Amino acid sequence: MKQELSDMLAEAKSDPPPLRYSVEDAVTAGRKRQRRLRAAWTGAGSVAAVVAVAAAIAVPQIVTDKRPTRTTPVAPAASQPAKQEPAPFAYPKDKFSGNIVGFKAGNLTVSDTVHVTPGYQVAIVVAPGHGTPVQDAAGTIHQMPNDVGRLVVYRQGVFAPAQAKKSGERVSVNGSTGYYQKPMVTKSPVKIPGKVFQTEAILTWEYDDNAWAVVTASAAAKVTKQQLIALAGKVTSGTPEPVKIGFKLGYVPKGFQLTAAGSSDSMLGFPLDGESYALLLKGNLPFRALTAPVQDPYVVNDKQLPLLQLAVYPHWWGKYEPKAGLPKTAPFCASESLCYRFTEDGKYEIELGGGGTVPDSELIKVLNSITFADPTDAGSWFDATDAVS
Amino acid sequence: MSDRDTEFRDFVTAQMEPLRGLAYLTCGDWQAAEDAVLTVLAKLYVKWRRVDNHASYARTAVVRAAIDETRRPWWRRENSQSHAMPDRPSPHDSTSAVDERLRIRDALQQLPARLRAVLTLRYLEGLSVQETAEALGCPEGTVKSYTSRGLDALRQVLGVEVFITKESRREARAV
Repeated sequence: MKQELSDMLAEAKSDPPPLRYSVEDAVTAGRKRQRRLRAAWTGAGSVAAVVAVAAAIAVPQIVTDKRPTRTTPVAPAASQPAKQEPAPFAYPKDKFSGNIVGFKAGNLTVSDTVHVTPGYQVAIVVAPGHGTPVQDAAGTIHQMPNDVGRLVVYRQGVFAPAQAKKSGERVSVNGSTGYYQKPMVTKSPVKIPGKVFQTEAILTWEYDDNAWAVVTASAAAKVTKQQLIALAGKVTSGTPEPVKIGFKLGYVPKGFQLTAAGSSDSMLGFPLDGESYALLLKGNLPFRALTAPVQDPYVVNDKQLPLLQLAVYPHWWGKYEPKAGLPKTAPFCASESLCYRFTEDGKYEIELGGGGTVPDSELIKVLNSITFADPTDAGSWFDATDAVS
Repeated sequence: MSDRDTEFRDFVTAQMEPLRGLAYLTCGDWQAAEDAVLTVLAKLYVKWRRVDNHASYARTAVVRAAIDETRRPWWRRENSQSHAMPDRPSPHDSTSAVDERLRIRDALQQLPARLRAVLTLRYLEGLSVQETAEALGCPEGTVKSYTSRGLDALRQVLGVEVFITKESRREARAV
């Protein structure tokens, strides 16, 4: 008797039980992960407390960025002197300082620096309109800004431009060499008739010798090549300011060091009011030969570095309530390697993830040592380097 | 609704079932397979615009996640009470009409998860030795070794000659 292996395998997986998860469950899980920096250890059974609302709703306004890293207010394009070329971008010498100055370019708005690592700093590109609104557990609708792209300015020698040079169309950005990649339209990897996938438009340019910057815009935003080049031409550096965060650690497990910080986490979304973030890794993450911002997992020599990811955000964004029977500010772990602590007024919370690499007892110890700044008062925030040392 | 959400929904609609099947063949438990798939889809949602080939990414990540599921300490305890592949039927079972599907599932269950993953990726998904090695993060030699061991094990467990056809035949010669 003979049996064909592929037929056997197909037979073995036939007649499955009904799916427990729907397409919407996957979308919800993805949105939750995106905004909360859930790492793989959070498990698949998580149910998001925050549900995106598909329906368009007339709303207030774009969330105001009150981050202390802002060096100057975002200025309307009209206030810029006509045809004035900005000075070359001067990258900060300090590892955790940012100095992108927010500006407007046509109908696009670029924020100040919202995320800093030793290798690059990031600002968010916002278009008119609104992003997908979000409904919290209480049913309140929160409007989100229509962030359509990222501006990433890399420190000299960090970015590897080979791919951009290979794939992009050569352009000039204020006299500097740049490469433009239009959004690629590719065939669907699955059999959906007529369906195509689009990537982002990408403009990469050398703002200084072996120092590169990249600005992206989603295909859906329909930002033209000329718009991106004009935007890139307006990128300027301000006075470097140490990145600040809304909390301070009294205890840091041995060997961990600051690797990223800002008002936006490593997913690089538009910051929520009061949001701040710090990533500590046990080991050195090399910032070299990058082609994009680094994200979890942080792997060096095929080994994931132990990590501590801390993020303060408004409670409405959160999933959990303070534990019944415990003081409101008592830290607790909602699941393995994912622990929380609330501010006194309960309006904000800090999330600490250990990636399964740090015992929960250590995470609780870290949370117990935390001093909150006033999330609503950027002036009370701490220099990130001081806050985690 | 953003383009990303629309694209993602279309992808999930088309791929959730096949991915679940792939995960199931790897870990042998439908619930764990679904959990692995949902975890991977959540990751994919975040990386949607950074991933060139969504299907390839999801397939690789699902297999890895399914293997991870079988490593959990509670796996063995809970596995016996879930929709896991059934215990091997007794050779003395007088019910000669043992369901073919259950028999094959049982045979696969005798193999380690990584070995099942190699066979599934190569002979159900049609990946080459090199692609399978990349998907599982192991040397090509390991893939070849696992393929050979997996086929031998299935032959022994099932008591039949297990053969491969079509494109699989070319790859099999490389084993």
